[in-house]
Amino acid sequence: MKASAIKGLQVRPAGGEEVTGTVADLILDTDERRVVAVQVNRLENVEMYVLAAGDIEGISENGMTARRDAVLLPQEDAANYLTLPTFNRLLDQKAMTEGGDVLGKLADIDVNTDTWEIDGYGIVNNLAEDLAQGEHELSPDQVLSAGAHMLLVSPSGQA
Amino acid sequence: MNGNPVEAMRVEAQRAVPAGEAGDDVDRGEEYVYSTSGCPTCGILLGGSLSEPPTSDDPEALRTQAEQLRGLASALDGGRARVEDIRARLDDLCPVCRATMDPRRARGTPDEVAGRLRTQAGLLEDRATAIERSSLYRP
Repeated sequence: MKASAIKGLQVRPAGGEEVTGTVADLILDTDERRVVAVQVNRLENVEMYVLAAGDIEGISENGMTARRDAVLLPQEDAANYLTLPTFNRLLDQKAMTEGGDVLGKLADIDVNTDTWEIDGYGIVNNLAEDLAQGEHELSPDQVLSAGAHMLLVSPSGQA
Repeated sequence: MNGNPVEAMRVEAQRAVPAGEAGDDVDRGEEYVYSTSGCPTCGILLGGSLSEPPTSDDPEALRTQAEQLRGLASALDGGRARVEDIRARLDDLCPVCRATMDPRRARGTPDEVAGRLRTQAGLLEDRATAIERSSLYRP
């Protein structure tokens, strides 16, 4: 499932109909090549909370279900989660090799929602090429690090 | 039971909590029996028998696990342990600790592994803090 499709999903507790919020962002551990949590925007107020991937019971195009006993981490208690890269922060950032070659920009992330592992990073180069070929995908193994402003990619990631 | 207490604990604990169900606190009407030798990391979760499997949502256990991960990271930094030693150590955990401490982290260079262990320790500490501050938490 694409990260862009996970964003905006409504979150409900298991067995409940009441929507508690919507997914605002995905928190990534790029070393571990996985999504560790999602940031959820509460509906009733602007307050956000963090829901760890292990506390997600199910996900579909219709929404996300949190485990009945899920721990909702208020932002102020989630300092360590919030130091990790997020999908929103990486979106549109450059993908660059150690040698300085720019491969394109991050357009999306492919997530295995059974394991929450990152299956691939979708990179687009320029509009004309995107229309002709679509995005090309980098495997998580090729992404050496993800900082605030770019993805550092191994030379084998070059198209 | 063989002569290796860690191995014996692991076999017993895995029999008690089937793989993939660690942390699941649904009462199945069974008794979960653990070796009195305890998990080499959490210890407090094991020993004797429990009417329910231990969960990974005990703040004290989460903090113990985080402390252990930081200790392993320091051992790597100081050259007192190799990545293979860390992997073996994580492989010997009880199912509950394995679910949160994840032996798959022990891959790559010592610096990379130490970084991963510290990241995970931080996430466990966040979770422990959130549970402790929850209005539902009763120590």
